[in-house]
Amino acid sequence: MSYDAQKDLDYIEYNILYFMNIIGMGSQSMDSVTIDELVEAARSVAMVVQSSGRVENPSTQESDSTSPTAFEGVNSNLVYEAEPDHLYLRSQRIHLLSSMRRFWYLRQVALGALNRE
Amino acid sequence: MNNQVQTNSYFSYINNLIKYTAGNSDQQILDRYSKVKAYLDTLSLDKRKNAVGFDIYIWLFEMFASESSKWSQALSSNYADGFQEQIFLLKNPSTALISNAAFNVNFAKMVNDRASLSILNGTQLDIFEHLLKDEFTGWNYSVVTKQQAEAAEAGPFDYINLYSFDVVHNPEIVKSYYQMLNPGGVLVLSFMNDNGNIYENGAEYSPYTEICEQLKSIDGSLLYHDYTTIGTSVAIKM
Repeated sequence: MSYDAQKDLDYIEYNILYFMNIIGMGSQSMDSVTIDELVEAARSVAMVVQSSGRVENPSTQESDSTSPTAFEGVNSNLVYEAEPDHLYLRSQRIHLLSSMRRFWYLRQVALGALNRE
Repeated sequence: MNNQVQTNSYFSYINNLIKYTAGNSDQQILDRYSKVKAYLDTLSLDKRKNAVGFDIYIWLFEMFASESSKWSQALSSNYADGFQEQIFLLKNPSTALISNAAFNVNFAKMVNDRASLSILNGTQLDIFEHLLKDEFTGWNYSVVTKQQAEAAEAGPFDYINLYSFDVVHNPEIVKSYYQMLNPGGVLVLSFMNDNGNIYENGAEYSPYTEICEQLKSIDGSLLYHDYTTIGTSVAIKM
């Protein structure tokens, strides 16, 4: 027995489609999207909104607030240190991104292996 | 096979305390990983930060492929595999499943020569067979697909060696691997510390912690965690 590129690709694409469904892109073809689109969509999942209405995006460390906040100029990661809900969502988003990126990369390698056959 | 380390460093003293065999020498790492990197470069992979982030699983071959790389000169990089070798030799299994044949060919050969070896189908196996396998002769292994493993339709095995990357995208599937163990079997998970984040505030929400929770939830399981180098979790099926 040896490496089975098609089965490897099937597994990888199954997981990519799973993630695409999570981020609301499940209706699109994998061949028609880019990793940049997937990353952008993943960063928009479960955005954390503070009581001031300021939207936090820990992945880009940017905010779209139009009003001054107590956190301007402060590393936005500090916002999440003691807040369990923020820590949870931040962790979920980070690992969603890393898993998606990893499978996207592995898909390219598997396609390379298939092309060798 | 203790690699050269900078004298009078913390790790030089550790280096004086150990003796192990399946780790790769500096030259082996350089030769193998640079060969792999050269192949991967032919695939025109998108390696922009937005595309790959900093994922050690993606970057590992690159990190060690340069002669000037400090990573390959560090004992901590090489000895990280020492624990999987130690557990394998202590367990002395008859049957074994590994997922990381390309990252450590020496360890794969050790398992091949001492047990009935199965290798998980995936990128590691592809790179191993395409580029690294012919360095040794006498290979005799079967292949288990991830689909089979996650349905617990392979084995049973006395010893399973995975990387966290094999299960962290869906921590629940680690239970399927555990299910394929014989009584007394051992499941080793390397790269479990999430770059140290598993020991920090918020770790309780991490899928790396969830992997451990899944294993701890199984009746009759024991779970240990070595917190040095890359972090290694070891589950035993009692």
